[in-house]
This record gives sequence, structure tokens and C-alpha cells, in this order.
Amino acid sequence: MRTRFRIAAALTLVLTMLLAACGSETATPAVSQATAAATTAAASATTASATSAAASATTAAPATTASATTGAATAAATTAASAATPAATTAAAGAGTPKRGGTVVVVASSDPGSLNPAVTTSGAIHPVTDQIFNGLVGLDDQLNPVPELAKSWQISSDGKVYTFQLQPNVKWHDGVAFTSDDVKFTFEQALLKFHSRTKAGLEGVLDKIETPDPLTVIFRFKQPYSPLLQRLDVVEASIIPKHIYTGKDVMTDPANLKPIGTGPFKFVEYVKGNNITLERNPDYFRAGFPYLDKVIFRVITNATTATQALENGEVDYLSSVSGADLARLQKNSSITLVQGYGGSGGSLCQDTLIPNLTKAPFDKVEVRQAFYLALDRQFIVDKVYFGQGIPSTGPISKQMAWAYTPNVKSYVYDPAAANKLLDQAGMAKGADGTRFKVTFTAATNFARLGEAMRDQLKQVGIQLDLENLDTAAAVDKVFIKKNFDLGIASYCNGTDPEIGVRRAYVSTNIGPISFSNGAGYKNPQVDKLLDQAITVTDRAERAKIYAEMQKIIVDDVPYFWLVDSQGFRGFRSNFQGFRVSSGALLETAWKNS
Amino acid sequence: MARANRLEQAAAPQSVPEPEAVPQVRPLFKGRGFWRRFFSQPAALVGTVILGAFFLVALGANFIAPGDPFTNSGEILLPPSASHLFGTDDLGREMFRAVIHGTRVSLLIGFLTAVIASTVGIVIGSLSGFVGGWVDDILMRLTELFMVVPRFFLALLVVALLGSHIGLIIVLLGLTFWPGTARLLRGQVLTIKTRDYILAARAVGVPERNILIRHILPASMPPVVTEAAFLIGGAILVEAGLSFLGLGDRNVVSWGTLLNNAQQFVRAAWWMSAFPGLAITLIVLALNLVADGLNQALNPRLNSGKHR
Amino acid sequence: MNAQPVRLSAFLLRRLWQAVPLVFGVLVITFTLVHVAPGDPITFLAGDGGNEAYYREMRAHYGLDRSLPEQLVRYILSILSGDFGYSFNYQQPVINIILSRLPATLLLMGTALVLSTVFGVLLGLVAATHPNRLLDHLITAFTSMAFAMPVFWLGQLLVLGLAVQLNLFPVQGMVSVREEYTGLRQWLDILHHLALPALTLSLSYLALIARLARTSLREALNEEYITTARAKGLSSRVVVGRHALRNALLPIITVTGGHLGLMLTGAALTETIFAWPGLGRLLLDATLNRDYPLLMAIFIMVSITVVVANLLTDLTYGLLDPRVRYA
Repeated sequence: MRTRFRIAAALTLVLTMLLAACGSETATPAVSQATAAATTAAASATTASATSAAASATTAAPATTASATTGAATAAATTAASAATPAATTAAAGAGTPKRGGTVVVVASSDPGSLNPAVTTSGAIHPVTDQIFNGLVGLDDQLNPVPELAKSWQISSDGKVYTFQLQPNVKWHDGVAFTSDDVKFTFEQALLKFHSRTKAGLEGVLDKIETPDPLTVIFRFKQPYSPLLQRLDVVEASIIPKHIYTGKDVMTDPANLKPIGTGPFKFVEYVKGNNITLERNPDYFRAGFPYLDKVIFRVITNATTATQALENGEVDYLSSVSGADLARLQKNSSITLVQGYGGSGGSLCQDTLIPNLTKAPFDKVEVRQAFYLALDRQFIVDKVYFGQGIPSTGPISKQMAWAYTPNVKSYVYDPAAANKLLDQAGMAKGADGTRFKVTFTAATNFARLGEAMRDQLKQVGIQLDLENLDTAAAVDKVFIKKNFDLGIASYCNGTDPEIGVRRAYVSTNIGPISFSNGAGYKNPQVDKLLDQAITVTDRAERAKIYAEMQKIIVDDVPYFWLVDSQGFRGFRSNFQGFRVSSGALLETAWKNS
Repeated sequence: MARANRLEQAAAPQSVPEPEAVPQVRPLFKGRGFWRRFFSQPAALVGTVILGAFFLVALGANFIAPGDPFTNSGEILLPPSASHLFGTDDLGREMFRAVIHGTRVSLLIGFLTAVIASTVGIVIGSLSGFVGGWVDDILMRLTELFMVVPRFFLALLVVALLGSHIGLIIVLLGLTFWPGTARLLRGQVLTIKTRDYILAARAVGVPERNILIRHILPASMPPVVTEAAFLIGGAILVEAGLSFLGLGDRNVVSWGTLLNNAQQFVRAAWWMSAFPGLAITLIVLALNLVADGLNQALNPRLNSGKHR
Repeated sequence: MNAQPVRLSAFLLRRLWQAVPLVFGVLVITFTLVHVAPGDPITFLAGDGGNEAYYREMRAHYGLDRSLPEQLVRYILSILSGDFGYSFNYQQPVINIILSRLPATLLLMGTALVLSTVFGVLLGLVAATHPNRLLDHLITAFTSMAFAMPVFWLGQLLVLGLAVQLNLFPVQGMVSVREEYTGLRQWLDILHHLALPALTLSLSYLALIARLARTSLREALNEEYITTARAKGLSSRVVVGRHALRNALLPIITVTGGHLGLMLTGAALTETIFAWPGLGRLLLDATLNRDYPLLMAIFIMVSITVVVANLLTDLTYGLLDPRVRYA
């Protein structure tokens, strides 16, 4: 008799659980625009560089705001400028008069560790330090260079000499004056030694840096070098104080935990794994800015948790909203969603499949073309990325409008054509309907993508096996050991093809290097065009060279470009003025209490 | 030297009164008495039925929910309805089909892991407790070695090293799950070894091996059986934990990977997380009921304890 | 009687001495595994887009270009000199980082351990003294359910129910970052944040302990000496409290001591869900980032903790079971 109670009790508990699970959320989610790989990424791989999968999937502006950049910025003209006010208000800036005061709590999706931005491109460090430091130039919402620590500049007609006039009256947070020596020191002792992108990009071409007076810096190049201005913003080249680091190891000095910058906010405290606190810099060289009194970065690595914290009002700004929650957040009037460019600064991320070109089956161009045709990229954008991006068409993101060309071979989803191509290539279907097997080696945050592709590829007789690793192991296997069939990376590139795009296509960058030319693509013509493009100063001319290059590359399909990502940022609606596409996110932000 | 290094049992318990006679130890699982006792408990019966149902589901997965669980049905994130019993997931796959097919993998992971771990644990624990001396020392150091390394993180590294293949995960879990059983069994053996009926058996010249296998092991089994049932559930849970971090085998459907898929949809699509989570909870519940039943059937004295 | 303390300390010394090769074994095994596992810390540390020379220099900068045996020997030597190395990611001595994250984890795991032990034994006691009654069945059903649920699933259910729907608790963190509380108010704030993660982490242990307590109590209550004690006319409370409970605690202690490592796993997942700034998540981050020095130091620390816990387990065994002597 009594034992019956036991069963009844057990069943009751099961039912209670069921109710608890159901009752919590009965609203039906409209088939939604939600999550992107970004969410999964943040949930699993806790840290990663800006390019590595985790940090990446956010990005890029909607087509409407990603306007075409004009050639004007690079011309050898003086860009005299009203450096007194920050470049532009952003898409996020709403109506109303900015108010002083208030605290903003921003989610940091990984614990930064240390806080020296000049020695790393880490996507964990920059979102924080970019509020503390400045670059020589900034990037506006259209990613054009605008004055920052440099109030103006001239470029010699041969494109070899850049002269910058620095902003007077800029002070480091400890009161010491900022001078041209700081710029020279930063480049020579930090950026050119330890910052991976700057070192790789400038080391070979930069001749020397001169400082004729405290407010003038001259960069002399060995050859004409056009992309310089695009790599001087706070993300690519934060300027650090010489007087703090002289004679010390910039990689490991304790000063890296108490950063002194020139930026809008001063460092107060870093509680590891928990939060980083900044306060307003009252002596900021742009008078009146910033508006906010205090900034707190709160470390929340789990994307679902971060989104819930935003909804509960425990945090105010989240740079990658969990896609699955987008539909619900859109209905929430206390939260504003904005689609923007890359993580921290102007990174334009392209999630790109990397076939191993050195072995079968991807050594055959027909197989690669068929494979690309068999991928339904619109479905992937809609369902896997929840609309947070647009289908890619080639090696340069559509958002880098001046260099992008749509005039390339088109690979719109066509399984029938793919089947035909594969038949022609002699890859006949076996008895079980399978032509060949491919192993997809990917970090955990790409698991959903892998599952979607597996289903699509099955339609053309390709069996996709998923090899699921953590980010570190996946990068190692694809880029370092090169033991793979098909890999993937979010190539997050700068605002010039030279910064980022180049690394995946130039044959000199084949080697055990993470996020390099992983496919092993060699085309002397492409190498030549890439080298030629940096020596040309006129942007329109450069665009022509890049257009030719894109055409060749897309014919070869050495990679399968999937998605130009455009992530959603979410913030509490009582805030305005975030510069969501810039590193300097908070310079113009204010709270409407 | 070595002898002095371990905990030693004093020969005679102090405040414990002498038992009247040497109790008979029944062979494990033998005789009608055991099964009668087992099935006379409704809870154990229910547990067995649930477990049996899961086994049937695992065997007949293709029959109950035919089709490839990886296939996209075209409509994403549909809530449960008559046509989509458990709803559909974010890529339009039938959750019902996925949960049904996932039963196989999760059961496989649980049982194989428990078999491997229990076997290793029983051998090591009983040898350690019974033989004692330097054997005990070495085996216990080994056990401790496996206990002190954070197993989950070890698993994480090994999976990163060798890939997240399902077979690898099972072996890995099996080979890291045994120390609990080993220590438990050793503790049991140490206690039982000093019982008077064992001392009596030894005094009348029963061979050591027989004492261990015939007398000590059967009497030590109840907690081990309970532990094994926990291990099955534990393995299913740890696999889910690895999957939570995204390190499950993506080429098979397990409840763990389903729960991982559901992570970001907990609020947008509760059914994605509710059904696999419930499946896990239910099966471990069933295992516990069965374990209790076994425990009581193996150790009938538990039932006789009517005290007020 | 007076020989006991001498024997005890000798026993302790021996056990500690024995732990040395154990910790050394853990060190060598994990060091090898950690360094052989694919993944380069430089990728996370320095970022991307560098050229081959850059990564070569960075590897040299961190001493990663040396052969594995050489790195191991260097590592062991520095450990022996008390230096646990420098975290790649945090650019600080790892010991500082561990110490800064330790309190949060001690708070979380300690609370969970206390909660689960106290309430687990209590529930087990109630169940065992009311065999086959409704209470027993309810408790058994509850513990079976609780033990069966994945930690992170449970955590999310709790968050959804108590934090999101009812708004009773914050969904994440250890303190309210917006406020600057001090004194008692600060502690209350931390408790408020602690409730959900501690509950999440403790439930499955509570269930485990309750079940163990019930089983072993039932067993103990059937032992002959209990029957005898009962026959002597001792009251039920004395019998249960003084005699049965004491013996029943043995397996509980074994299991609790042995589950510390496992609890850290639970803590890592719980800390991830609740953004709790503890050691579990630090270990998880260090693993995913391949922050070798930090990873190694935590592994060694956890090993030592478990060794000590085992030792304490054995000692408590002796205290509770009069039959066990230290020789």
C-alpha cells in the first residue's frame, strides 16, 4: 500500500518539473531572427582573439548604414579637422540633448587578463582598453579616418611620407603631457614588436619614425604605402605612455594592470573575473566629453546569461545579443537593438570555410565549385545566423564598399548544378548515394552551422562528418598542423584589404600561423595584385586592382565565403549615443535617466 | 614498513556485542527469493518498467520515429503540437525523432561507462581492501591519482587532443569514473573483513580467495550496485556537461548534444530543452528506483527493520 | 591511550610524505597532457594576423620553443623554488590570480557543501526512521529527481523561474556592480547573489548524501548492536543519534571527500551559468585558452586539496569508527 505513495510522489515530481519547464516561457517564438554563431561562441569558447571564432560573429553594419566610403580620405590633402568633437554620432544616437552623469554597465564576454592594448589584438582586451586609450586617428561610422590624437595630416605625393600634427594639450591620466615621443615609443617598442597585425603589416615597409618636435610625427616608408591611415585607430594602434614603460618589459610590466591612457575614461579597478571599473576623465582633450561618470565592465562569459542580465536591467550594454533571444528583445521597449559593424573597431568579419587545397577532394576546382553551389547560404544566414549577416559573394566583405565588387562569378545555391559538376568531375555516387566524405573540423561554436551544412550537402551526395573541438584545438588542427579536409574561421578584417584580407590569399602567408592562408592558396597573379595595390595611392585605382583580384579568386574558389556578419548590439533604452561600430564605444554615450 | 603505513583494523570491536551465529550470505542475484523480493516492491517495478520502456524505445527507434534525425523538416522552432509531438528545433528538425534516437546513444554511454568503471573499481577496491599491505598502498595511490586530477578537465583536454568521438568519450569516462567505486568497496571490505563470521570462516580454514569472493564481496555489493546505478546516470550527466561546453560527438544524437543545442533557446523554445532534460531526469530516476529495489532485494535485512 | 597522539602525528607525517609522489605524478601527467594537447596559447594571447616570425618570437618570449622535457624540468625547478609561474593571460604570477579567485569559490562550494551535507543527512535521517512511509517516499522521490538533473539544466530552470519570472534573485554575478555596499549590506548582497548558484550546485550533492545517509542508516539500524541497544531499552533517539548515525556517517564522509574534484566540475558549470568569479570558471577559461602555467597551478592545487581531503577523511574515519586505529 505505502509504496504506492512513492510512485505517486515520483510522478508528481515529474509533472511539477514539466510544468516548471513549460510555464516559464509559454510565449511562442515567432520564427525568429535570432542568434548567430556569436552566441554559441560566447557560451562555449570563453576567450578568443578578435578573429577567432568567439569574438567574431558580431559585426558589420546593415547595408543602409554601411555606406560607400569615398576616396577623399586618402588623397594627399590636408585633412584639417574639427578634432574638438568626436567624429560622428552614430546610428544608435537618438533624439534628445546629451546629459552629463550616470553609470553604464557593459558586458565583457571574456575576462581580459591584462590591459595593454598595444601588445595584442585580443578581442577580450580591446573592448575595455579602447575606452582608456586613443589612436592617432579614429574611424567614423563609415569607417573613414578622422582626427583623434592627430588633429591633421599630410601625405606626400609619392605616398611614402606621412606627417601628422598632434593635438596640443593632451594629457595622460597621470597628468603628464602627451607628445610625439609617446607615438614613436609606442610603435617602436610595442606595436612593431608585439602587435601581431601591425608588426606583420608594417615591419617590412616602414623605414623610420621621426619626431621633429613634440607635436609632429613623421612616418617614412621604403615604398609607397597607402593603407596606413586605416591601421592607426585605437583598435589597431592604441598609443601608450612612454614615461610609464621606458626601460620596462611592455609585455609583462605591472603597469599593464593599471593602464594609463589619454582616453575618455580613466582606469579605477580591475577585479579579475568579475569587473573592471573606469571613471570619467575630466581632462579629456575633447572638452565636454565623455558624458558618463562611470563605466563598469562586467565579465559574463555565457551569452544566455548575459542576455538575461540585460533584460533584468543588471547590465546596460551587450555587444553580442544571443540570436535566439532577438525576437523577444525586439518586443521589449526598454531594450534597443542596433545592428553594427565588428566587435571592437572596424573589423569586418567573414565566416569562411577553409578547404584543404593540398589534397583530394578539394584540390579540384570543379569539386570546390560544386561544393560552393551546394551550400544554401541564404538559409544559413536566415536560420543559423538569425539574419545577423548577409550571404558573402567573395573574399572582400560587402561592407568594405570601396574595395568590394559584385562583378564576380556567382555561386547561388543550385544543388542540381552541383550534382552535374560532380558527375562531370568523375565523383560518382556510391551505392549508398554518397560521392565522398569530408570531415569538417570546427570549433564548438560552429556546431549549428556544421549541422545545417551536413543536411544540405547530403542532397548532392557529400557526407559531412563533424569534428567538434574547442577553439584552440580547432585552430591548431587547421592552421598549424594542417591535418584537415575542411575548416572554418571568422576572418575579421580591417577596413582596408591590406589589413586582414591579404593574409588569407597571399602565398607567402602559408605556414603554421593561426588565421593565415589556411587553404594553402597559391596564385602568383593574386600575389602580384596584392603587392601592387598597396603602392598605389589613389583609392579608385586601388579598387580596380582589388576588383581584378576578386574576380580571379572567386573563379578559383579557394575558400567558401559564407556570411558577412552583422551582429546585433543591445542596450537599455535609457542610454543613447553609443558608437557601436567604433572602438570608442562610450566616448559619446549618455544616460537619459 | 608498508604494513605500518595504512589504517589497521583492531581485531575486536569494542562496544559491539557478539552475534549469535554466523549469518548466511546469499549468492548474488540467485534464487527465486531475490527476484520475488525485488518485484514485490512497486517502486522497483515502476523503475524497471520505465527503464524497459527506454530500452524498447532505443531498440525500436527507427520504428517509432522513422527517418534521419538530422533532416530538416522545413519549419523551425515550432512548439509541440499533434503533428510535431515535441516541436521542432532551431534547424527545423523534429525534436521527437531526435529524443527517441538520442535514447540509444545516451543509454550506450551510461551503461558502457558504468560497466567499465564498476569492473575496474571492484577489482581495485576489493584487492586493495582485502589484500592490504603494499598492494593496498599502491592501489590506493593510484586511486587517489585518478581522484585528485580534476577529471572533467582531464576529459576536456583529452577530447581536445583526440577529438570528440563517442567511443572515446565512453572509454574516457569509464576509465575516470572508477575511483569512487574502488574506495567505497575498499571501505566495505575493510569493515566486513573484521566481522566475526568472516573471522570464523577464516578460523575454520576457508581459503582466502573464497572468503573474498564468496563472503566478503557479496556482502559488500549493495552500495556498489547503488553506486553503479549512479554511475550510469553520472555518465549521462557528464556527457551532457561536455556537450554543454559543446564538446559532444556531433555525428550522433545524444540528449547531451540536444541540451547543448537548446542552451541559447531556453527562453525562445522551452521544448528544445524540456524534453531531453526530462528524458535524462526520467531515466536516472528509473535507475535509482531500480537500484533501490536491488539494494533491498540484495540486503533483505533492511526490510526487517521494524522499529518504533 | 596516551600513545594515540604520537601515533597520529606519525601517521600524518607518513601520509603527507606519501602524497609527494602522488602530486608529482599528477604534475608530470597533466603537464604532458596539457602541453601535448593541440592549441597554442599565443593565438589567444597575441591575437591574429601576425606572420611566422612574429609567432616564433612570441613563443620564444614565453619559453614555449624549448623541448618538452626541458620545459618540464624548468617547471618543476621553479615549483620547488616556490614559483608557480606567470599566467600568460593575466600577465601576473598565477598564485595571485588563484588567491584572488579562491574566496568566491570557497564561498560557493563551502555553502553548497554545508547545505547539502546538513540537509542531506537530515533528509536521510527522516527517511530512514520512517521506512516505507509517505515521508520516506517523498524524500526518495525528491532526491532521485534532484540527483537525476543535469546541473546546468537545473541552473537554467532556477534562473528562469526564480530570477526571470519572479525576479526574486539576480541572474548573475556575485555582487551588484552598480551599488557600492559596505558592511552588513554588502554581505546581504552577496548572499542574495549566492542563493541560486549555491542551490544549483548543492541539490545533486544533497540528493546523493540523503540517499547514502538513508541507505547506511537503514543498514546501521539493522545491525545487531543496535538491536541489542534497543533491547536494552535505550530510547529511539539515543539509538539513532548516538549509535546508528555515527556509523552511517562513514560512507558519507568517504563520498564527500571523494567528490571534491567532481564538485569543482559542477562549480565550473555553475560559475559559467551564473557568471560567478570563481576558480572553477578560471580553470575552464585556462583550459580553453591553454594558459599552461595557470592551468598547471590549479591542477596541482586541486590535487593537494584532494589529498588533504582524503587524509581528513581517513582521520575522521578513525574518530567515528572506534574499530579503526592508526598504527
